[in-house]
Amino acid sequence: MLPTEEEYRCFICGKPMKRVHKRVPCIYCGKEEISDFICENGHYICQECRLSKPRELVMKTCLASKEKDPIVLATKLMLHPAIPMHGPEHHYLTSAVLVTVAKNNGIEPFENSIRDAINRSRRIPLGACGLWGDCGAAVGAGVAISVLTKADWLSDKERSLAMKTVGAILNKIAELGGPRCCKASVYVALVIGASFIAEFFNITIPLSKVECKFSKKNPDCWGERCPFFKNKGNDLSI
Amino acid sequence: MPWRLINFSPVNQMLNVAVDEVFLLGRHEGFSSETLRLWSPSACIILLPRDANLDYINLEACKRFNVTIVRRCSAGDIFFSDPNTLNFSIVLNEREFKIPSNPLEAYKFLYNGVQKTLNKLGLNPNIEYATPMLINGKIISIASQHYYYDNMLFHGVLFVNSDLSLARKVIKGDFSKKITTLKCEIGREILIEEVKNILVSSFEEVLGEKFTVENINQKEKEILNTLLIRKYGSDKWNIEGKSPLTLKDALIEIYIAYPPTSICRSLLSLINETIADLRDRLEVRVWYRGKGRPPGVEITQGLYQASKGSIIPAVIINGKLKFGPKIPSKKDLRKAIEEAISMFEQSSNEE
Repeated sequence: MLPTEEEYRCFICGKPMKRVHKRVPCIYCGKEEISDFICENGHYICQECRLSKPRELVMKTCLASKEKDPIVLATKLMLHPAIPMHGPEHHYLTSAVLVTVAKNNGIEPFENSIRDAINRSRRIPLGACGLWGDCGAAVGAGVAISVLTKADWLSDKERSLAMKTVGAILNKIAELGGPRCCKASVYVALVIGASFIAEFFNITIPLSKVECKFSKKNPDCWGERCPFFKNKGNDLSI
Repeated sequence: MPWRLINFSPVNQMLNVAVDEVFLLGRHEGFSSETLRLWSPSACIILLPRDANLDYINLEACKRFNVTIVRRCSAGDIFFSDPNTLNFSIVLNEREFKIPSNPLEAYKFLYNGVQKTLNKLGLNPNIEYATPMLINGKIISIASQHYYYDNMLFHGVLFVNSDLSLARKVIKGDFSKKITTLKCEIGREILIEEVKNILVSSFEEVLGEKFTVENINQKEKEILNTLLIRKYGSDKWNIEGKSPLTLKDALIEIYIAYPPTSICRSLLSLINETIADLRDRLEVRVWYRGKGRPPGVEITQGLYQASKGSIIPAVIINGKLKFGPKIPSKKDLRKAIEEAISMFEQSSNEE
């Protein structure tokens, strides 16, 4: 027999989900609809978001988000089943998250900046870290800086800032070693990228301590060697 | 479920390796209980799945000395076995019988049964994960583990009085030269029955259970027959190491959201309704996006395509992506399933 009903667990908090029919907002896109499954902590993911392709999900979530902390927003996105453990989805996720939190912390980017950040960084291919020597999450942070500062190839300090950001992130990711962990790369890119953005625009971007929730799913997890393993936090000096 | 002890060594070597998988499938489906099986086949080499390279085997010698080559479902090192080698297989369900959840620890836990046996015979081997058990630097036993959903098969060989000269003739390279036997190590004749008794009591101590001697049951015999025809007796498995997609007449995979949306639930109902009269002939797997793959279950090309392309919900029939994300009509779905069954029937007739 095929399953008709079983116990589902929330992919955000792990609590059991129950069948509840009431009008609630989706924790991703914010759209309100009559719920089917809600977890004990009130997390509801709308039907459209559950079926979304990764890029649609990142776009809709970032466009609707009021989140100021890049770690919180990125973690929520990466916990969604549409985002695989590793893959090029992390490249545009990084740029979209950085542009979103910059906006939510007081920067006024140009219209369609989140869309533009995603469109630019979706072109970075799978495996760019090992094949090009250029991690896609790092470049994603560079895209975010370029979008926020409106930099292009003729710009002066904005162009330098984008490249310095990517360079600093790449150095750190390279120091951490391999094999690749897209989650760790995203966190490094967000922590360093957010500090460059905050300094340039003279704003404060809150940064939660990273509590990696993906180590059990990652057969190549670095374990104790990772600065984000088992709640070690964001201490990138390790 | 109570633990049972099964002494079952069919003459057909393909049946011998198939039995272990029958117990594993049976434990999953609920028609087999926790099992220790002991067996000693005629001379054979037991290969690994997906390993089509036979360069390390002297095929001519195998033919000359009547050494059969068969293939088992678990990975690891190849096994050499003969009537004086004791083969052991343990099958259990991890939810019902608690063993360490870490595969490495589970391996060591179960291999303790063999270690204790050797201790009782005055030998002191060490257990290292995925490494043969050594006595004085020589291989006395080899084991391997394989998971299917939450069921585990742990099996291996213990060289009691094995024909080492035959092993060296049929397996090229250093591997066979490193094998030793219990007889060599304890310096006296030892009968396989004596070792069997010690092994059974050692496993009882390790597992904390008493075994009841039983025979293979009727349902297991039926599945064994199917497995022999569709897998272990086929060239695709024996030569290329490729497993059939399913043991039934067709495989239907459904790829849905987690938790399922109303569209996904409609698809599940549609499938339930469409295959009601075909259920015995079909294997149906439901995959939730992001929930990973259960151990021992292979990802088909169609499922990979649906997953990478986020085509959700999707219906994959015999490994091919057939429908998604739009839900098919009952008529189209039925037609596609019937076509898959008739293709299977055609290929069976050709074989």
